[in-house]
Amino acid sequence: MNVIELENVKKDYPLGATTVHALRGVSLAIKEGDFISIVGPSGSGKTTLLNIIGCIDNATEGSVKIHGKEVTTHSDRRLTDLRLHTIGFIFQTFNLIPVLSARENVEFPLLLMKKENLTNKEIRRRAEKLLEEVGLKEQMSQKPFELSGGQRQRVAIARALVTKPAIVLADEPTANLDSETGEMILKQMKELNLLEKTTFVFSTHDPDILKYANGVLKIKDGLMAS
Amino acid sequence: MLVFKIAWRNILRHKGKSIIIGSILFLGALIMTLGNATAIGMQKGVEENIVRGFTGHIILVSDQETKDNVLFTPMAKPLKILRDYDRISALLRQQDYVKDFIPMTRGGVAILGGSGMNFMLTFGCNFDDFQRVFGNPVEAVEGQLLTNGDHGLLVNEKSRQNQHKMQGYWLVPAGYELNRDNLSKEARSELPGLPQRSDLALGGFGEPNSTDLTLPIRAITRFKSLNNLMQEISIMDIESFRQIFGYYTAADVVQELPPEQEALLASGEEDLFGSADIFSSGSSSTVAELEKTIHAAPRPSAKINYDNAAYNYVSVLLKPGEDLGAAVARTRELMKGNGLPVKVLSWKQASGQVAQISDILRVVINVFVILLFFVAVIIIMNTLSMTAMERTEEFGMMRAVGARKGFITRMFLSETLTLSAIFGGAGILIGALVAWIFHPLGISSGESEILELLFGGEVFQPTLGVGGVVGGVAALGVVTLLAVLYPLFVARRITPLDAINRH
Ligand SMILES: Nc1ncnc2c1ncn2[C@@H]1O[C@H](COP(=O)(O)OP(=O)(O)OP(=O)(O)O)[C@@H](O)[C@H]1O
Ligand SMILES: [Mg+2]
Repeated sequence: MNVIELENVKKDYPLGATTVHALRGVSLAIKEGDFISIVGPSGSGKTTLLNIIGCIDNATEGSVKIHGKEVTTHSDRRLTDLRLHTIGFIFQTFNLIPVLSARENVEFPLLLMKKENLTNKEIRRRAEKLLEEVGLKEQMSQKPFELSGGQRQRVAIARALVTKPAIVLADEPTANLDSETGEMILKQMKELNLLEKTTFVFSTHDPDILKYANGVLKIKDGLMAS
Repeated sequence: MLVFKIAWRNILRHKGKSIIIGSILFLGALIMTLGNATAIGMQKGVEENIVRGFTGHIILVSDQETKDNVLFTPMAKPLKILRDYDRISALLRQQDYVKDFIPMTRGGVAILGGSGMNFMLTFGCNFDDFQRVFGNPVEAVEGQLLTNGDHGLLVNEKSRQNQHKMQGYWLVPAGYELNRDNLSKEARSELPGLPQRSDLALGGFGEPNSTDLTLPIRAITRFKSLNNLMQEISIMDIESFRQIFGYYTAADVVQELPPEQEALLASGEEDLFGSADIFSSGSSSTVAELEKTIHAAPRPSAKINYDNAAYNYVSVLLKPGEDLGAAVARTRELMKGNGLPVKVLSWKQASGQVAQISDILRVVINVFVILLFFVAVIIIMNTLSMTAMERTEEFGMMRAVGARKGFITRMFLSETLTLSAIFGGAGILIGALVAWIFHPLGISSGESEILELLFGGEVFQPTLGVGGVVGGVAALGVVTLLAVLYPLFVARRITPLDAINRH
């Protein structure tokens, strides 16, 4: 079954008097349990594509289906709930809520979804376990401004995984990390992918981590290239 | 919990803005509370001193009376005679909301035989009853206060000084020596040849049957409260008043005059004002004789039952806690239901400007407070909107990971309401504290009539009470909500994409 299905998706950004065609008709299908890497030069439209899949941006044209459901017509509220329950997102640059500690940032989405029947203790334990796994056992109570760029990125990864979402989207997740930590995190993602059948889609420039992917989508000038 | 935690940390994180908003809320709440305490204190002062000390809460006049402002207008047209006082009093006595009441007369008199024209607003009453009903508002500076059945005039100490300036003589109570301690500076400079008088020849005007009468000065008096304001008011015994205004004979001709005659009388009144020699018709010797004859043998028409005599109005005092509006309505019903020709006025209606000035001040205070709120709302709104924009990343991030707009709303409101509760609450608290401290101390009006009127007495006591505090909290809530509305709209509009595009 296709977890993600895009058909002829176009995205235009108005830029002054002109229009930037960031995506010019992208079609793709990603199955459950896929571990997909999106590669392409800077400015090719990777971030734009992930944003549209992640329901934080809407396509100018075309169809976007998550779990077979068309989302382009969803209300803001339904999209929000979809982001909370189905999608984990790791952004390229900024990621965390400034006033919350590393642990609280990871707990945040779980606290938003009250229906999960988790006690505060369980939520905390889950957050702590994930932070340990990304190597931040010592930094759990530090605020984002007290963390390095790489550490912040790892907190964001832990947060994206904490709700056990069906889809995890990551925009250059390892860009701010040293190769060792990057490898470690990719391994964890892969483990989760095999264990829970979580679908991963991540963009990268890094050829080293391509080996983990079981599929590579190449994008250039807003179009898929084979 | 989560919302409050984030809200509280945000308050601490954006200390500068929190302090700006907090200070405005604090100052606004403080000024509002003090303004409120001032307004309530003044209202209380008016209530205590004017209402309980002179006018009563409700004033009953004849239904022939066209104007409401029946009490304090200087040179007022004479009031109509209030008929059926015996029945009115019987009804009032049965009402549970009535504490006490007293029938009174009121009119303008001319002081005769001086160098110029001089008018006095005079009230006639059974003075013992007056003192009892109003809680002894009048005290004697010199001489002795009137007792029921006593004839004579009570002149205010300030009025005595004015009359000295205008007429040249210094009033001394009949049978008393000149008290040098109480002389004005001007009067003192005329010693030892200072002209003195112990009686005044008075002419009532505006009534067809009015006569002149020379009345002995019984006492020089002052009102314990609001003396500056009420200095032109003199009081005489009820019978002398009736004598001057011809009420004994008038009692037989209460029926209304035809309009032509009324007009004739009105023009006659003007003549009265214009020519002084009409007043000289009643020379003091004949008046004195007349007075003797009144004492010796009352005229047939004067043989009247006390309760059925002629009065102009009845002052009604309510029991503590009674609502004025409700009591006025009930009294109106009562009088109408019993077919009595009575117009029922609240003290405010009957006192005209006197009551209005203290109302105006309250309005001024309220307008000022509203203006202040307006400014506060705008500044807070601005600051909060800026904060919302600056926090685009934070709000956008929250929305990206699945926080609904409602979550943003709750967080934003919690922050502002917490600030409002802490700083605004402190403002109300400190304002209440200041009012509470100043209440027993009081603020003196000095010699100023205006201040006295505004204060409702010589001493102004800020008063707040539970109602004032509750009102303050409500106003603070309204201001906070008004100020947060637009910034909240801004914050709710922030999308995850807005946050990403910042980078
Ligand atoms: N908000 C925007 N307004 C205007 N143009 C935009 C906007 N976002 C992206 N673009 C343009 O769309 C194109 C695709 O951008 P995108 O960020 O998707 O590229 P990318 O592949 O992620 O690049 P990088 O590898 O540098 O992150 C670029 O030409 C970019 O300039
Ligand atoms: Mg990008």
